[in-house]
Amino acid sequence: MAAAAGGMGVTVGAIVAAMGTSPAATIGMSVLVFGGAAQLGATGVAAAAGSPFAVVLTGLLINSRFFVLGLSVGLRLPPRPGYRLVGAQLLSDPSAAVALSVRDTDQARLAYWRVGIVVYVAWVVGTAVGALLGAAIPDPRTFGLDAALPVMLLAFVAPLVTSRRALAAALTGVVVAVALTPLLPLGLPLLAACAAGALFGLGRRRGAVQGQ
Amino acid sequence: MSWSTIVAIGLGSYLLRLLGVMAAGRQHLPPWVIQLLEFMPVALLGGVVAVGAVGLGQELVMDARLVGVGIGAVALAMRAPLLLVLAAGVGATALARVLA
Repeated sequence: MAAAAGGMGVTVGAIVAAMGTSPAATIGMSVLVFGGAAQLGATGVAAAAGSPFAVVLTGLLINSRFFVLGLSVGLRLPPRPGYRLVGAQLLSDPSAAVALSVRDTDQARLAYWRVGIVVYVAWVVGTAVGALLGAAIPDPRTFGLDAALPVMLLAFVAPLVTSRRALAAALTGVVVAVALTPLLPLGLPLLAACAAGALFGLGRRRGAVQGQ
Repeated sequence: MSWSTIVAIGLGSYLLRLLGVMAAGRQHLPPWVIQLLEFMPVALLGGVVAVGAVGLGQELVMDARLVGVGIGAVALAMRAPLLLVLAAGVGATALARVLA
């Protein structure tokens, strides 16, 4: 688990730093944002010269899934506020998965802390190593590294596409963003992609009736 | 990316996580909140991948990156390990750039 998170951290750190974020800020981003997809997504928008507002919004909208995950994981955490204040930051895909899959509540809590801390530390250490590697690359276009960000991001999206509807939402996001990019300043096409995704969720109940 | 941007995303992300954890079991959230958020991240991520593959500022460009992302997607679909996916995508981009 530590190796997987650490390995991903190295790659993400290298990509983010190679795209022009300082090594210190790259590491700080892992400490604070703690979400590979959000970190890469925000970096992608920044690299495409999106406004700071668009960059922040992209990061937050991607990490909004941790709000949804928190709704389930919170039921398995001790009710004391101190635990929740700390436990919230340790919320990641692996820690949520283990907390939700272990039957016994005490065991689940223990597993959540253990996995949460291991993954968090591995992620931060991994990105630190990657940040130093990435900072040594002068121009990301050399060796085709400018494609590393979308490819890596694709690897983060793949596990989230768990149904045909999710796949349809992702493809709609692609089409909407590409279609609007020449027309609107970056940020707005992505916001539109986001809105299209939201409609996929909202249309779910009525979807059966409308035969979608 | 600047520190202020990073801190803003970090603070917001923490609040999102905390809100979820705190709201758990407290009261019933209206179902549309979850529905709204369910497919938003995948759609947005799809958009960011696409812009990263063919976007250049506000222009759309079909260049070596698209080849790399395509090859990376194929490697991913074949369940290749992550490093191989990345190497295939990056390698294909470099190769396409040399050949073009």
